[in-house]
Amino acid sequence: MFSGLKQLSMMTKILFVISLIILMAWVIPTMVNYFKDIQKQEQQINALQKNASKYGLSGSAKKFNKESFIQDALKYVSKASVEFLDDKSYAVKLEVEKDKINHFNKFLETLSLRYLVKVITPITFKEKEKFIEIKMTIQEL
Amino acid sequence: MGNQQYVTITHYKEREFYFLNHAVQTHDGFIGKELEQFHESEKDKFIERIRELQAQYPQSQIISLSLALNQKVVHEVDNNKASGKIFANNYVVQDKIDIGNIPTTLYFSPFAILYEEYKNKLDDKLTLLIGLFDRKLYLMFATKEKIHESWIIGTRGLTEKQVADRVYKSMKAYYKISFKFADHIEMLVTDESPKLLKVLREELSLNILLKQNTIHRLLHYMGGEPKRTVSSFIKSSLSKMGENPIMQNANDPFLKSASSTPDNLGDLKLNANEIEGDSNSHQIKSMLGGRSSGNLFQNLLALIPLIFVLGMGAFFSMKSSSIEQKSLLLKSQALAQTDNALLAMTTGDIFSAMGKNAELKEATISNSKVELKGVVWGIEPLRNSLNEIYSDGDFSIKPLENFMTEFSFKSKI
Repeated sequence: MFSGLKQLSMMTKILFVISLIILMAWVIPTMVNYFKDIQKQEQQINALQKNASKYGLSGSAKKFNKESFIQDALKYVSKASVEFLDDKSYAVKLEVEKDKINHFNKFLETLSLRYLVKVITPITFKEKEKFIEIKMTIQEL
Repeated sequence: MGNQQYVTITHYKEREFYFLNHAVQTHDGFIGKELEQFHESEKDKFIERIRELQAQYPQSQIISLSLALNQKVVHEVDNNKASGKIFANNYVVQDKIDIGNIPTTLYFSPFAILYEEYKNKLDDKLTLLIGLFDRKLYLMFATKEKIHESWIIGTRGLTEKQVADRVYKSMKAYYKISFKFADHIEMLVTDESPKLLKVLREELSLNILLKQNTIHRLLHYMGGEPKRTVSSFIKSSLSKMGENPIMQNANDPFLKSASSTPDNLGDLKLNANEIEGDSNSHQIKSMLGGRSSGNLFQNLLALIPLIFVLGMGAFFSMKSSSIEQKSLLLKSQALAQTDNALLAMTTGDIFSAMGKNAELKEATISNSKVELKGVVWGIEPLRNSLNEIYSDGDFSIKPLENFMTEFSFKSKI
């Protein structure tokens, strides 16, 4: 075996050594990281799915869609509107009956399990006769 | 004073033995001396014996036979390879000269010997010349104009009948590539096996003319005349021995004519190029492995693992980067979910705290602070409720004109 190696040209040997160095220094660590990340990702997905199942939700969060968001929101509140701001941000305005504020809370609890969004401003509540007007800004993740 | 006879010292290795012979060249041919045989373990003794003969015969050439499998007849000179001119634009080339430390001044290819042996028989018709040297078949298709094709087939371990079969098959192989059968076949056998000769005669067509000769005799013949020595891979004037036997022997009638022939000059030029090439680019070539197509092939093969490793690295880098992005997204989602749940909890707590003691008019709620404003009926119960949730909160009241009381509450979370 070693005599066979001796017969290889210098360039062949150099190429083999370079391949080996790249394999050890770059490919194997990258592969290890990749498999670690896969494992980590599975754990994150499992945690989110477990959380979602508490609220009777299944499947993973969707990309934000205005129409779909309004439809979902109207299951919990009386009025809902969304206005595009900028930088993937949306101004959300909702109206809920005073005595049904807990419905909004349920919607808020599940918001990031349904859509890939986060609330980026404080939520403001304002009384409007029998309703409470709620305003917040959300941003796509 | 040494012997002034011109002597050819011939040697070659077959299996584990070195065979050595020397012959005195005369105008009427050469007179061979006793054959000597050395086991490869006696290499030093063998070299010593060559030195002795060399010292004994100052006018001598040490001749050997190249049995390299990578030699081939070509029509253009390749300066990167060892070459010997057979005739006109027909050269025999091999990757390198590998004679180790055994003294050699002339180094012939079996192809050159075959041509020399049969050149007078060549005409316009295609002739297949076959040489059996050290259990290898050296085949070349030639006309008097040029050598059309050449190749080598090993016969190690084959029976005599199988050797004959190989010869027949090689003829068929040439037919497949050129659609030509040789008009005439000559075969030179250096093996001294009578059985092989007998089987070849029986198995091959009667049209195949067999000739038998020993390698030593063939080499003595090749070294006997300068016209023939030009087909050596090693040009004696530039041999590793640092000697110039031909120039030394300039007065020798055998050698005088060739030292000034155009062929020889051409070869000297060719050789000079090789040596210049060696000095300038030997290192580069050895680095790049450019000395032979075998090395080039090796380098190309060595690129495969490199490409594979780079490809694999790139693949996993891309995958890793995409997984990392998705992982970040999931992390952000989990964080947003936690924030939302906290917000919902805070909102629920605040509205519960209002109860029947107050009515919220305005509120700003985040996970870092709350600001509330509304109308209060039961000041103390509300203050207590809010203080239970936010002990450091700032609770204040303000009487309104309509006999109602407004409260405001601020707190950091």
